[in-house]
Amino acid sequence: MKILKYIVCICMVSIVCHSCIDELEIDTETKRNLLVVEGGITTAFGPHEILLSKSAKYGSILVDEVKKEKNATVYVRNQNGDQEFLEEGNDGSYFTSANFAANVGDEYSLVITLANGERYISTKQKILPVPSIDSLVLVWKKQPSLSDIQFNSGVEVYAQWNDPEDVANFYQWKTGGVYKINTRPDLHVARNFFGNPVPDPLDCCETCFVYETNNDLNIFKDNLTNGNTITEKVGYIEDDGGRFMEKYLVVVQQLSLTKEAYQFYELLNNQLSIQGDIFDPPPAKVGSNFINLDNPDEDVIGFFTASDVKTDSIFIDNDLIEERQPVRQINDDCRILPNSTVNVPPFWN
Amino acid sequence: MTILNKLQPLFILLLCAISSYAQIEIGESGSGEGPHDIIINITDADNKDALIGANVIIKDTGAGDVADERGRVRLKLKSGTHTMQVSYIGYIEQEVIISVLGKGSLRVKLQPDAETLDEVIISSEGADQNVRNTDVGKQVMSIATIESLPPFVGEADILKSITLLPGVSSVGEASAGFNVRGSNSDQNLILLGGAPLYNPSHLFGFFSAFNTDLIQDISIYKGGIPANYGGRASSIVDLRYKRGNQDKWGGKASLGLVSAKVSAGGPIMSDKLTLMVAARKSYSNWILGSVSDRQVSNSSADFYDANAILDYDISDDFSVRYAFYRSKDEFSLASDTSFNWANQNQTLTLSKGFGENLIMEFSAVDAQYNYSIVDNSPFSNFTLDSKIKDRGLNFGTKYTISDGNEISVGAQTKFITINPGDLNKINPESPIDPFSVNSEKAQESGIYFQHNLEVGDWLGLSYGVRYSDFRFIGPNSVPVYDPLLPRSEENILSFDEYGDGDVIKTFNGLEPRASVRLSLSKSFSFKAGYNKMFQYIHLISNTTTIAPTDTWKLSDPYLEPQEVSQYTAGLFKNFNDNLIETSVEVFYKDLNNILDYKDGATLLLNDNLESALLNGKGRAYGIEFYLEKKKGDFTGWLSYTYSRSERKVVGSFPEEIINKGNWYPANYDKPHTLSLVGGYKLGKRTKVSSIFTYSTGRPATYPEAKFNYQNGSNIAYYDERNGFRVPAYHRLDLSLTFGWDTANRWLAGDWVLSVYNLYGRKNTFSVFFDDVAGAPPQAFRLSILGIPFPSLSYNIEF
Repeated sequence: MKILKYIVCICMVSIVCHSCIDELEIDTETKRNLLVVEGGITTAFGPHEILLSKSAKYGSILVDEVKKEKNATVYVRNQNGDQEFLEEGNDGSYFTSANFAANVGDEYSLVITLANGERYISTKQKILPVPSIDSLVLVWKKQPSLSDIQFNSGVEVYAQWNDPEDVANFYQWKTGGVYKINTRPDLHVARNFFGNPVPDPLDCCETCFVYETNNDLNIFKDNLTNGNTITEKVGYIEDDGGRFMEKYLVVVQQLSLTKEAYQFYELLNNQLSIQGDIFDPPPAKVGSNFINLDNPDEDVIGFFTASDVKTDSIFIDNDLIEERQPVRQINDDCRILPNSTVNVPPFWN
Repeated sequence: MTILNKLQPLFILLLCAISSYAQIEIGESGSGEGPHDIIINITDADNKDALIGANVIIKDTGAGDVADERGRVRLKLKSGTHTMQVSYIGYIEQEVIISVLGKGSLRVKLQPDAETLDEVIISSEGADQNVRNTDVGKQVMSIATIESLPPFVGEADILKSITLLPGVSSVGEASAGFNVRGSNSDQNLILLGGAPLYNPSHLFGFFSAFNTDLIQDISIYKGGIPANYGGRASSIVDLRYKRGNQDKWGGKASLGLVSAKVSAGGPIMSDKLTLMVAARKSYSNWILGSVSDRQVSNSSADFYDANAILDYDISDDFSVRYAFYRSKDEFSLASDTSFNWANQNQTLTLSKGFGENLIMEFSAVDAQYNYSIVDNSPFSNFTLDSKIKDRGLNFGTKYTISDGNEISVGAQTKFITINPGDLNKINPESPIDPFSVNSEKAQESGIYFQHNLEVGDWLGLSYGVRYSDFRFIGPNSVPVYDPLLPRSEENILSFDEYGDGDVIKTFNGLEPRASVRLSLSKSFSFKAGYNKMFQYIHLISNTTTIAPTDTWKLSDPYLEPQEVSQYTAGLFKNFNDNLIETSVEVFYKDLNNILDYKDGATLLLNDNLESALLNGKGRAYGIEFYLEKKKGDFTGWLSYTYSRSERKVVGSFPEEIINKGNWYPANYDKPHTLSLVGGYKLGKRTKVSSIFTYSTGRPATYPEAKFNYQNGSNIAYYDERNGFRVPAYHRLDLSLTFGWDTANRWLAGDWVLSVYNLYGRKNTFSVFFDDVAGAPPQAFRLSILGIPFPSLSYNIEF
């Protein structure tokens, strides 16, 4: 009987465990070197960024690396033929001038000529008006956790606005923030020749302001709530022990999208959510609003967007935080933090 | 009845005499020349089971028939002496000399042939029926055949066995459906005792969901489908229940590694009322729990099924049957999410003969399929429940004009209700918003006419027509889309509201069916057939298996019924006195209104599913070769199919076009499929058998590049749908059956030792692509059972 049970166990274990997963070599390079365009313009002042790159063979970085597209000529053109040339930055990025702002109701195309002479143009994107945000609502949120001591918490940011009734609206939100952080440069530790820690107090700097942007794709359509006052979650700022030392400024940009742009982002979101389980959306082809002028059948990836934008911001005071996370102590110069500065922003007080 | 009573002593005499070829007198003398109606009851000599499908031939006249549901054959014979030949798969053939004096009946008991039980593998109701009958694309498999194949985890499996036949394939392990001649798995109508089965499997397709011990036989119609069947577009799998033993109680039990099953049957009121019950239960949970690995011990795989069949003979030609069936599955794999599904079917059948030539049958069917996903994670827990109710009434009559000349007419109607999804939270803190997709209702009806005619030995005709009617009925709210824009959620203008019982949309049409046989010699025939079918219910899925993540959807104003026309022809030839059976069949199918999904479609919990779906055309064609050796120490078959199944979707808008409007392979398009099945008898009770199967890998959509977007995330770029293929599937199974001859019946059972996937091929179940931020994108393959998998089971009869 013992032997039987042993056999049975082996069998059951093999059923469960030997649904084994291993790497599969696939060799598909039919769609290498497609142009990838990311970025757009808004009704706010520039510089607005456009990124150009080429698709690479599927697989790890050792298989193939995505190449940035340099030395291209890029300009934005409106329906009157006015052109705004973009200036090349690093790594395939191109920028409009700082005083360029698009106008609501105008139609814009992006025209690209690559270094090899290939010419691409986007379809016209009309800038649809976006309603302004009436208010931003903040809610402190403690995420459910199995442990009483360790939990994830933060502040949810909701935007509230009046959705216009007569049209279908498509929205995108981009959020960013600024917070003040204190570090302990006086407790800085260096390594000596043998790799052992030795005290190495630094003179500067204790207080910094950190700028951050959230890159989550956050889109919304009003077909279920058309014409109402809508309250929608637009961001979540996690308490990492550093953000809410004093107060946090959250900036919300509410952007209008065309229906095509919305559909593009929806597909992109789908691709980003694939996890390899049975709830995964089926693979889908991510489209584009560009065509190659010399070869209209060529596939292009990415969307040029043109949006109206309304911005609102609000300070999150740390008394909103019901349970503070343990303070994140950084024993270093605060300027080592990415996007940090010691200069007090003019809007801070 | 009086005659029967008078004949009772004769019966007893008969039973004693039957095997000694004595001449038996039937009827009372002085009844005239005839012809007289003679009823022949054919049963198993050991357990008295009715032998449905047994064959009776009167040698001198050539008249004959196949035993009906109750193991009976009715013949008209003139007064005089006749030699009657009675045969059935796996039984010793008997010749009985009868002397007909008048109207009467007799019982013939056939002895199971221990020598040949495993030898006759597949038979269409008689050794040469494949050549002699007019059915095209029909195959009958007996349970004996299925039980002689290498089992998986000790279980003989009907659906797995079906996929070894030409023209039938499956997408791999753990796939609940099977594909017949290039059709989707939802296009198979699986009838269990007359009731439709929505999910025919346990454990995502590891096991069939029904107990083989209660099944008499299965008929698979791949083409030339008779007009009394309808509702699904591609094939019919008809599983007929056995009838309970009329004389004494008996049963079977089987103990495997994963599950045990038991069945028993016998008379409750002597010859009048019989009962059969069966149950099967898995006990894998306690085994899983006793494993120290947490991954394993937290998994659960639990299922059961149960049947009860009650037969009551009110009179000699009037009988009632009630059948109950229920199956339930609960499956979770080391996670908080569990998948559950349950089938429950009930059928009540009344069958009455009027005179000798007319039989009427009336049945009421209640079929239900519930499935759910339960997430028991501590926080975002939810249940997602779906339900299908399918309730119908069927009426059919069969009139025999003369031998080989029958007419059937009938009418069927059913109501289908689908609740596609109810999302609810389990505990109040869960952040899930409850949501319920609109339920759907419809009435589907059909009337049919079928005429089977044998014109001499050389020509057989079978033709018929079915008229089907489908009404999509309220309550429902149907979206109205902007006619100038693609059908998407953004383009809904308004909703039309319909009240309870309002007819929202009607579809109907004629479904002609026909087949013809031309016998070129006694062992060689040519057959051809045509059939057209409509299907009003659709399985919306982006996986290739039937799973709780699927959505079933009825035809509505936006989803027209699927329409399939099939043309088929074949040559059938037997050699060496039916020892070798061969056939070549070709088919072509035209599919209309088949469904595919849009790029980026959300299929689960979508209230406006039509906006996620695309309407397309399909075509499937192929050639099937079959070679079988039916008798001797070595038996087995070879089947090879070359077939293609393709789709084409060209809508009016760019987003409604798949693969630039070109033909592309369907999810289950597998051009080459080869099965080799063999059994070799080593001794009286010792046998080895094996299966080898090979098929082309199924199509899949692969990323054709990667690109950076959204802050440099690596994202896969897909272009051509089903543009690639996963690696080929092949597998070898081996089994050894042995038993000891002993007087103790508990020890006299059969041991079956088998190894599934003998050489441990890692067949690809699915391919997926992980684009986790911060990690390189990579393709992964999931293989289920990528190692040799041994099992042992013990089967007894009592």
